[in-house]
Amino acid sequence: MNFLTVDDSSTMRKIVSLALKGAGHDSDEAENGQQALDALKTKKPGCIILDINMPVMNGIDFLKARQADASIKSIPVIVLTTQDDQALKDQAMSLGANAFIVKPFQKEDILAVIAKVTS
Amino acid sequence: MQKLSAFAALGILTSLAAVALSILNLPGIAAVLSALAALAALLCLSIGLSKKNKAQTSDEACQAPAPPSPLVEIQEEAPALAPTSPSGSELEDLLCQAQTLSPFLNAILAAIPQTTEDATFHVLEKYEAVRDITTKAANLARELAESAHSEKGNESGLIISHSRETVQAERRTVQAMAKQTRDNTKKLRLVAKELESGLDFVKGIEEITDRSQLIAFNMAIEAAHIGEKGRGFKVIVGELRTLNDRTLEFSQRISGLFSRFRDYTAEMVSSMAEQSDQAIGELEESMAASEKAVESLIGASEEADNFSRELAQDTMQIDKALDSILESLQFQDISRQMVERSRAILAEIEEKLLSLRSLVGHSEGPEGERATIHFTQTKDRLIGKAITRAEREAISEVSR
Repeated sequence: MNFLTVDDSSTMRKIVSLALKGAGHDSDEAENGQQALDALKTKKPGCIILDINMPVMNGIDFLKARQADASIKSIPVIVLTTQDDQALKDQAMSLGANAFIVKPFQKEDILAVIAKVTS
Repeated sequence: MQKLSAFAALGILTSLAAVALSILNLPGIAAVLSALAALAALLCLSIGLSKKNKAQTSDEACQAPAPPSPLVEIQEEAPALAPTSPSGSELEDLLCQAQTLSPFLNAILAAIPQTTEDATFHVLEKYEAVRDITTKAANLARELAESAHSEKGNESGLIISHSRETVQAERRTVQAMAKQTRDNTKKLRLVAKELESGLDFVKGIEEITDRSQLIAFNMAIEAAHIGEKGRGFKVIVGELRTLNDRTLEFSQRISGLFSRFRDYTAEMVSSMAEQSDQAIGELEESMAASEKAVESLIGASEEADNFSRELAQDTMQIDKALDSILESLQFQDISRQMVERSRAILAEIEEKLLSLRSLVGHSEGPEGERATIHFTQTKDRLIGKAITRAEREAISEVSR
């Protein structure tokens, strides 16, 4: 399955990419929400891994934009953030996020969530 | 204190991971994790040193070469920022602490070099490739082993499982053939003996013929003695001689035929024994080679099975090592982001402290009130900028 990893940290994008590659998936990357929206115009991934705190356009604004765009609304989104905050989690889920994972993540956990979200 | 524990835990974790990777013959990654462990140790040491130095005066702390822990120091000095009683010397101390903190944070960021991280990812990618190859090799070995032991499976599995039985059946057939050949040889030898007996019989006929000729000769003499009366007898003797000659000729021909037949049989027996021994020997050698090939094939499949199990274990170990490294890299990245954010917040604190210092001399009256409002606004803005709960709590604690 093809993924789009949206995170301003290149290190974290590589880590996610390696974890996905190990499970037989491939991943494209975007540095923020706006780059992700641009990328989604040309290619629709099977799932989006989304950070929250990013420059230019953060994860919450991206979720709002996704909700308003019918062409990408159905793509599952897994939020992957350092912010262990229940209010933020509730907000993300109310904006259509399919899962919420706090960094640092375990590979097995994220793969299990992916399997659940994309099944 | 929480940060001290976190960095200590990070140091211990990375140290353990480094040791584990050294055991797994991964010195490159182990070195990276060792550097991370050293960084964590440095953080712990810095925090510990700053707590130890807290009894010192602010001027002494400002001049002290040892890097103080900014967050701990700010938290401890926070009451001095109380808007109702701002003190000039306390603000000076705090500003000094903040200014000392900036190079310290820069040093932390410099200690997490991008090149080291890139090198780690490079090693990880190679590691991933090795794991892929290992997985493929294990799968191939397992498939080979499964096909070798398969009863219903694919063609090669059936061939291998039936080859041993086939070779054993062939061996039994060849052994039966060898026995049959030996029996036939024995029978041919008996025939040869019978032929020898026949030859003896023919020799007996020849002896009888010789004696009959002698009798015929004597009868001819006796016939001559009796003169005219023996004329009829002479005719009988003549017929007897003719019969003897023909019998002799016949017996000689029979004898020649028997002799040739005997020689042919003897040659056939000898040739058959020799050729059958050679053919059976070659067949047995061939079957032994087939048996050996089948056994080695079965052995190879068993080795492949064992090999696939070993590879599967290796792959699991590689996966665990990869997970551990990925987790360590996440800790490192999160730590770096936190330090970067702390640095930004600190810069703002430093700026605001400088502006507060100018107001501190007028803490009474309208200036004091303005200072209080300014401080509250600054605190709220900093809390708004904080990302993690820990950062929000730290800023609230500092400005309490």
